[in-house]
Amino acid sequence: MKLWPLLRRLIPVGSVGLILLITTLVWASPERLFTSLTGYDPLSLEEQQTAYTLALAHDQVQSLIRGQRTAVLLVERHDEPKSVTQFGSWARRADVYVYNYNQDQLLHVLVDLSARTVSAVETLQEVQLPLTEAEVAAAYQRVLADPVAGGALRRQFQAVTGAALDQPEQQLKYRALIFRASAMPDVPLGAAAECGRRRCAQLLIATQGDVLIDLLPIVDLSADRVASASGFFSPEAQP
Amino acid sequence: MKRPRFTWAGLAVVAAAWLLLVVGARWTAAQSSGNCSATYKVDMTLPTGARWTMCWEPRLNEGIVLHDVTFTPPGGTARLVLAQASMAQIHVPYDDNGARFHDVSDYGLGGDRLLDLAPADCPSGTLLADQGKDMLCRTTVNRGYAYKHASTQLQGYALNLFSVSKIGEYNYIVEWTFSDDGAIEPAVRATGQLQRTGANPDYGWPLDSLNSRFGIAHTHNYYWRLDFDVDGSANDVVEEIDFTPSPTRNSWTLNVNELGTEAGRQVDATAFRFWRIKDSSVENADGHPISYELLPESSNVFRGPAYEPFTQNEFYVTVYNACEQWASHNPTSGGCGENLASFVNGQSLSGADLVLWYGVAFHHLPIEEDEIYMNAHRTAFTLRPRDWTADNPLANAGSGGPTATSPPTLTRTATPTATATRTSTATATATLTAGPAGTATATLTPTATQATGSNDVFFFVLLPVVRR
Ligand SMILES: [Cu+2]
Repeated sequence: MKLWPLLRRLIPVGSVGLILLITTLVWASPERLFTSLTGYDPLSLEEQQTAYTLALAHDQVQSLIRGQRTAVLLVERHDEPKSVTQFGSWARRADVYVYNYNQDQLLHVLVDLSARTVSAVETLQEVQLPLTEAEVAAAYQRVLADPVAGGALRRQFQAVTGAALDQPEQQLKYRALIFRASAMPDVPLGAAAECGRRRCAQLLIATQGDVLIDLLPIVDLSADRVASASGFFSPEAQP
Repeated sequence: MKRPRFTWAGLAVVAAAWLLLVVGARWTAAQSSGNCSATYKVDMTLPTGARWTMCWEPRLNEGIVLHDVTFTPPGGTARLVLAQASMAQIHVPYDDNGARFHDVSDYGLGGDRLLDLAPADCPSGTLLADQGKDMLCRTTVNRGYAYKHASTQLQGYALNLFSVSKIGEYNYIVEWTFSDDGAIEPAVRATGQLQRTGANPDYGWPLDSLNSRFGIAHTHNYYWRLDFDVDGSANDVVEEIDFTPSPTRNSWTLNVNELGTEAGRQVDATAFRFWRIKDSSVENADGHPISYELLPESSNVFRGPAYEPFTQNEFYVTVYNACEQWASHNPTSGGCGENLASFVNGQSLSGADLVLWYGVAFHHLPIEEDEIYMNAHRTAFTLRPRDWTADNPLANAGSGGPTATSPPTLTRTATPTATATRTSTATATATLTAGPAGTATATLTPTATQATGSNDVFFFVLLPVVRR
């Protein structure tokens, strides 16, 4: 029976170690362990995950997205109106936004995190939230693959760097914002005239060496095609 | 004399007590007061005794949104000033009509656009984080003289908050300064790199020796949404105040016009025009209604095409409507207006919850020095108390107060526990990532850091005991 004396010695050592571990954890991130999120606090990752799961499991949501090309754009704290906030405390609620590219509908799901239920589902038209990272990357790939827009990009790159664009992932950096036809109603927009009702990305491109590419190509993500190779419509802006 | 014997059981008791102490202290620190938890609360008492409290929240479109902004003058009463304040649009039309960006609605200032700030981005300040990303820098700044008269003077201080949003090649530094005199200065600093160059000399400025590459001129139209609730949303009234010269222009008559219905109004520098929002039922000790005034900045005025009707005015007052979020490209679902001009639809302001909107233009004709990095260009305007108190509440802090020669003994008394929490994280980050320079910077962060520091020492004193 050598085991018991060893255990007797290990119990206090172990408990002291455990206490130290807990203390250290508490010290490192007290808000994670103790803060119950409230009021205007943004959603935690866990809350976002819960809202997302509840929203996508909802029957009405399922029937709206089944067989459709969709993407979750955003999970964010529901911005409560003042008719709610004036009473000083309110439930944790989340907005889950899913875009349906086939129908050009933004699906808005209001989730009550406290009750773990879906409070409302609505479909919105012509509401375009900022682009996700995946959408920006897809828009860039669409431009590269397009003979006209990709060709213009390669010519521009050659012109400003003197080199060929053979490794576009390493040679260029890109960002994008939503393009809406309503922003420029006085110029001939061509295929981009549907943007806003459809989900369109306008790309901002520069070389990795920070040289601007003077093109603002527009990709219609709903149709998965380039809507404008240069992004310039006004005669004054033509290079 | 019997030497006290070391026992593991005794040590376990000590450790357990220590556990309770730490957990208790940290639990207290993390408890919320008001409408946000300690992590998202800013509660700053400035060295002159003025106190500002508010909640902050990162959102995808607006970037950082401030809620429940409350001001307490030194020795005075805490009163709500703003229920909510944020950017409402950054509209960037280019002079060649090659692009007309609406960054808040179409790009978003939040999400992955909000940069993770390093300790070097926030010297002598404290970084505030959401989900581990340091996105807001909180600093107490010396703003120089609050006032000077005869042998009396006072050095003023302000709470400064800023975040940085990367928008294309630009970085927008969205900044809020809350002074101990009650003034609020919303500001944006534009920096980074130019977004567009072209070949047409009619619309830009040459940037190369061949005069072939032109930085295209453009305007940054910054819009703010300011949901004022002067001591609560009830009884708020907006007045336009300006001056009319006599026929010979040798005297000026004061005009105070209450705005009865929703309105868009233009800046008029020649009439010294400004606006104020007052609470018609709350008075200072002299019996005058308390108010905040909006002092415009109008060195550039942008009047755009008919399809940008929101650019026809700088100042707007509207009745609160939850769906009216942005100055332009506002979501129209549920019958909401598309831009500020359509928010103004004849609603009576009487007895209503009012929202102010303000836009400032910065016309940017590039200079050669914009390459390779544009120096940060600051655009700002001022909101400040008018008759919040019957006289200057900083007057008692004069002379004996902190001076320029003894600066950063700043006290951050309010919710010291919350401050300590964040500061300790900032210190740790600095030590880990930035080496000696970072540590030195963090050490400059006053009071709260020192409090945490001494506790840390206590904590580490225990370690060798336990290692026996
Ligand atoms: Cu600019």
